[in-house]
Amino acid sequence: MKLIAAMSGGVDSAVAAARAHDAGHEVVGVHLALSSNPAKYRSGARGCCTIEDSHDAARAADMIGIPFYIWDMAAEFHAGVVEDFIAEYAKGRTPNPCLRCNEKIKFAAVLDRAKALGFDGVITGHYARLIEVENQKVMYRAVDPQKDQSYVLAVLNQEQIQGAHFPLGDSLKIDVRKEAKARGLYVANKPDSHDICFVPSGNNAGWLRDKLGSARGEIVDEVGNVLGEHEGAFTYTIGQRKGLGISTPLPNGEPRFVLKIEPTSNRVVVGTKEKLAIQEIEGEKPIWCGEKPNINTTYQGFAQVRAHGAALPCEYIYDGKAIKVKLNDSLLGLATGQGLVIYDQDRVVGSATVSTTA
Amino acid sequence: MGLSYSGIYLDNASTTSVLPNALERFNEVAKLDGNASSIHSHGRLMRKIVEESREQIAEIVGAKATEIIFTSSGTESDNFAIKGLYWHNSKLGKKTIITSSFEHHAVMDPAIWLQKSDEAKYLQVKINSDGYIDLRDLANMIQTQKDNIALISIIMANNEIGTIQPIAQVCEISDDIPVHTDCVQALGKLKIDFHKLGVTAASFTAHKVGGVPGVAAIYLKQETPITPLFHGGGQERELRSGTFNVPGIAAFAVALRETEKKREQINNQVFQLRERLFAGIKNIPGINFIGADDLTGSGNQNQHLPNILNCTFSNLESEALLMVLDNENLSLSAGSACTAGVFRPSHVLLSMGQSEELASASLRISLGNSTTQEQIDKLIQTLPKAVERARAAYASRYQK
Repeated sequence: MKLIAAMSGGVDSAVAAARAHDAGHEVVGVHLALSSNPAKYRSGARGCCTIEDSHDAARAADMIGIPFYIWDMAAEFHAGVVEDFIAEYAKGRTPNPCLRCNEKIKFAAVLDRAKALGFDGVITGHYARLIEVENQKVMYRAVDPQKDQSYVLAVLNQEQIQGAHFPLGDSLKIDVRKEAKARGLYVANKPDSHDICFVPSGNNAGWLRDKLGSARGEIVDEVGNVLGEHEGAFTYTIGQRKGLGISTPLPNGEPRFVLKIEPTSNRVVVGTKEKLAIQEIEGEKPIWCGEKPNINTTYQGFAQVRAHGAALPCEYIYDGKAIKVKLNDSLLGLATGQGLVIYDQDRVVGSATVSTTA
Repeated sequence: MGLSYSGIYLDNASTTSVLPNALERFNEVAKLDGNASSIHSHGRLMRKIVEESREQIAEIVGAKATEIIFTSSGTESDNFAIKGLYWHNSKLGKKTIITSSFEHHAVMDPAIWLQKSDEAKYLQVKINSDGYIDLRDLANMIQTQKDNIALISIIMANNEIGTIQPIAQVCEISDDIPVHTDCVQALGKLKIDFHKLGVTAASFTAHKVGGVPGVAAIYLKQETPITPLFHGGGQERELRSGTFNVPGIAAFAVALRETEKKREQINNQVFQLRERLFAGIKNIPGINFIGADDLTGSGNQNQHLPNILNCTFSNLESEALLMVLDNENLSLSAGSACTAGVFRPSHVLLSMGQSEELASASLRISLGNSTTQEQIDKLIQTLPKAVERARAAYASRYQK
């Protein structure tokens, strides 16, 4: 097959490309330039979009022996990921930009361009397994539970999954590093990236304040008593305990947590830990990785709401518009805007964006 | 990819292949001991090679040997001219820099840097849609800024589109204002005589005429006051410091002599191939040729370098087109500069009034003395399909 390897400059995508090349595929490495202002976004950033990262990707491609190009996807990234990130925060929600990047950039814009240029699909260094069942690829969790990235890939629809290749799904990260070293790839010891790549400073709150302003507002308890002041409601997240700056503790001395963010009134509502507990989740804009479930039918499965969160036993139902989840046990603190991913054991069923919780 | 690659190279405006005689001379000199600034015999031998090379180069470009200063690159020469002339003249209250709006970045970026760091006044002369500077615009600038102008810099032949600028006329209307010209692309293609032209300074480099990269020169008219860029050993009459790259300089002289000797013959050969190319691709739908009125066969060849053909295509991006061509073993360029590997719309094409879309859809085909008819035919045969592919990529991006 003719495949595009999306190379971030990290160890995983380099080994993924090398394995595909070894397997006899015609592999072309591509690094995505995601910033319209590289000097600003990229210098010193710790994500996957610095100039150093693009050099690392180019060197890895050299060593593997594949052609390498840089694709400018800055406009798509800005419109599909950065603007969405800002708009979601402005609505008082907490988005996960990696999901949007996979959905709209890596397996949409990149895959589309790859196909238009005569390629069959896109290889990435993600940890997830694609198992072929009756000529259709089905997505499963990775073998390495510490690295499993199926959560951020659950935004791929069936067609996108058919064009995706994840050569690392069956491997442990520790072995991938060893393999990189054995292959002589100098990115073998490069640390993993964790930050949001377009916030180079790592200071999300400060970055959001720059974009959304810092309108002061009230921090209130559940009955509306004003307890303090904040500099932008969007810099808080549900379940947050630290950094609230409230001087009056609860009568019993218990800490307070963010329960709700009200963007219209620019208020942050705080309360006790128990009030964070939820058992029902509704997710909008569902995407099915495999076959759509039957409408209004109850299924047993697992829900995951954070990239490295636990798989929570649940029952779920699809009503034709939204996914409704009832957790077996309650969960503390879930922000709207997060990704809700449904699993059938290790198989990824689909995902949605958390719209309401109860 | 090992150390050799058998693909077709049509990017000679970026760099040319090193001529065999130049390479031989390089190897011969590289074996010698000695620093050309040392007073001992080893040093004197190296110095002799430098000075002989300087004299040979000077003679070819119509200059005195003392007016040629060796540098490390065309970029260094351009920076030296722009910053060095500005630094000297700004002390006399002259803080205006005039260049064309389609200079190489090695000229524009120092000017922009001086604008930001030293409040230089930076003016750009308009370019007409054929790719030539507007002399009236320049004359107006000179009239209004006269006593404040530190320098004027106009490229001799544009590196993206190949149009040759009227430098003699620029010098004429500039009177005693220092005029610098970047003749990096023009060297080896045009008969150059700096004394006749009347320029104050000129930049040129070895690797565009079959020399090795890493050695270049600046012509500085006798007694031109200028502030040095590099300080240190003062090797080049205190105007430029740094150990002489003797093998590179020796190879430069050999390459330039050889190129000059065969200049007309190679120009003619390359021009014929370009005509063949033009005829072979002119009917690709949506193709548009840039800055070359002679390409139709009716114009004046003397106003355009014979080796560069620049064209744009509707509904595609250079990025995808170059990748597809590379995949077919054809190495070409968009002509425009990259920022961190990302293509930007060509400022040259924008200055000529082309749209941002077309300025992002250019292809610069540049031929050299090693270009063959078979290579041109392969491009003629491949380009239509490559354009189609790149258009499919464009459609996937913009036409959903």
